[in-house]
Amino acid sequence: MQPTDLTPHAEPELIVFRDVSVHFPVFNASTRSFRKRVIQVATGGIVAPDHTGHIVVQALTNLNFGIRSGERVALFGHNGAGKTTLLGALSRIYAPTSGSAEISGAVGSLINISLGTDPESTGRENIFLRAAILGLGRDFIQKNLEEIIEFSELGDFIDLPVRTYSSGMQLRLAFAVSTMLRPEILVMDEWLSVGDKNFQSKAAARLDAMLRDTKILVLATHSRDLALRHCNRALWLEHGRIKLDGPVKDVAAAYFGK
Amino acid sequence: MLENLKAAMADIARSRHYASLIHILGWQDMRHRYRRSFLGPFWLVASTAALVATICLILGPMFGLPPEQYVPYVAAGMIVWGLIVSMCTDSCQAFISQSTMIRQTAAPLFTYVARVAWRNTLLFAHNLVIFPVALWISGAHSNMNALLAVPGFLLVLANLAWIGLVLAILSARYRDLPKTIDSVIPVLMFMTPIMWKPEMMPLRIGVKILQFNPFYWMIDLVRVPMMGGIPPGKVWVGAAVVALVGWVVALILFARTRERIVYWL
Repeated sequence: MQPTDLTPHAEPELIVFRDVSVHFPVFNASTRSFRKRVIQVATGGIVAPDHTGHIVVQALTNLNFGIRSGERVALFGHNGAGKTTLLGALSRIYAPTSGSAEISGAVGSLINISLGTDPESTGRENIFLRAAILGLGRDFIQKNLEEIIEFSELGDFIDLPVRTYSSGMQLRLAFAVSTMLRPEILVMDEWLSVGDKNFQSKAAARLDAMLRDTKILVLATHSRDLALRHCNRALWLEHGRIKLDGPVKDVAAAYFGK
Repeated sequence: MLENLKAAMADIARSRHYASLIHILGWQDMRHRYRRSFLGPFWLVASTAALVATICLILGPMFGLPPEQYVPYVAAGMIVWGLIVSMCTDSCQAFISQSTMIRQTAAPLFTYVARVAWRNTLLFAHNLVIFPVALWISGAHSNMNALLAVPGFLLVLANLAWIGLVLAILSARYRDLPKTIDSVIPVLMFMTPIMWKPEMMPLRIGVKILQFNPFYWMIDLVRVPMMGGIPPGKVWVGAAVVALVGWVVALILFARTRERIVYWL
């Protein structure tokens, strides 16, 4: 491949969002009740959505953007701006309530790497559990088991229940398994940073290895440094809409101030 | 609609890819429930056994039925009934109780229903221990027809799986449904021949109505072979037809709601 072809815009758009909105209904007691729903149907009354007491939270509204292979996108925005919801939509967890979201390729989401950890099971069992949640094959983990255990620096603790671990140990284990993932599109909520100084450099190297094989990164972050270091583009979300979209330098300057 | 239907079937097909997750979580559920207790899952076995023994001791003589007929009948019936009950009640919570996980991973939704089915299959397997004991105590015998209980069980499971999927979806949306199921179950237990036999019904019409109780033939599909009999062909066909129709209904419901379920949690 010619070097000139490597510019991001020559690459295909793997993610295309057109007018994507994600609105959460808030059910009050009356609409959740089965009894009342049956009565509604039975009496034949068609009740307009507004009158059933539906309140809708508009987490994302009319998002339009595309992300090409090779792009590393930082998501900026205050708490509640819709960053996590957008990560969920990118991970195919939330289907848009309106609009269309086309996502081509396997998505790996590291939104909460400790999700599903079972404190009663051993570290070893949790490796398989965590891997299963990520959709990694059992054989694949079996093959890399020793490497994961060694990386997590847990030693003999690996055969003890995870509830006996310090929070740092738990995080190292979750990190070691989660970074086995090799998705085409990687979605992260904050940059993963675990352990002491020594471990952090090891962890950074492992994350970099993971990123090398990843076509697209979407990283929600509050850190200007991380965004500038790892990303080449940024989206600034405000009240569930895109306020600014462009090269990370420009957006960071606007969002964080000069 | 067709696209949604395809997506719903893809969800179910993709859950096979998560077989190890289903397996690990199914076991984990069982271990957690009886964590650090001495008997472990055999607590469930003990409580089923106690129930069977009590029914046999009190109702057996009242009905004037010989133990070698009545004891295996009640034991097999209660074991299958236990599977049906726990599948129905647990399925109501299949999505609700896993809301954190569902909101953070893209694992197919059917994975959570399969997990409930797997956990209950494991518990059912534990409960099966009661049956040979019941045979031995009552001096009854079974025969090779008992092997037919395996396809019978699979057909029951095929039915419970679509019922579970429907209950999981509707419960996520209508939170009164799990409570409704909880209160209907004991009523159904008396309407279904577990402690009594259909031929004891005084009115012919009662037996006729009984044919429409799906739990009756679900139990019979496993209970009859366990006791050495062969369930009539119409029961097999009926169960297969209901499974087929049920799955079509469940798939249509799943297709229509799949994308919305996460919003309801």
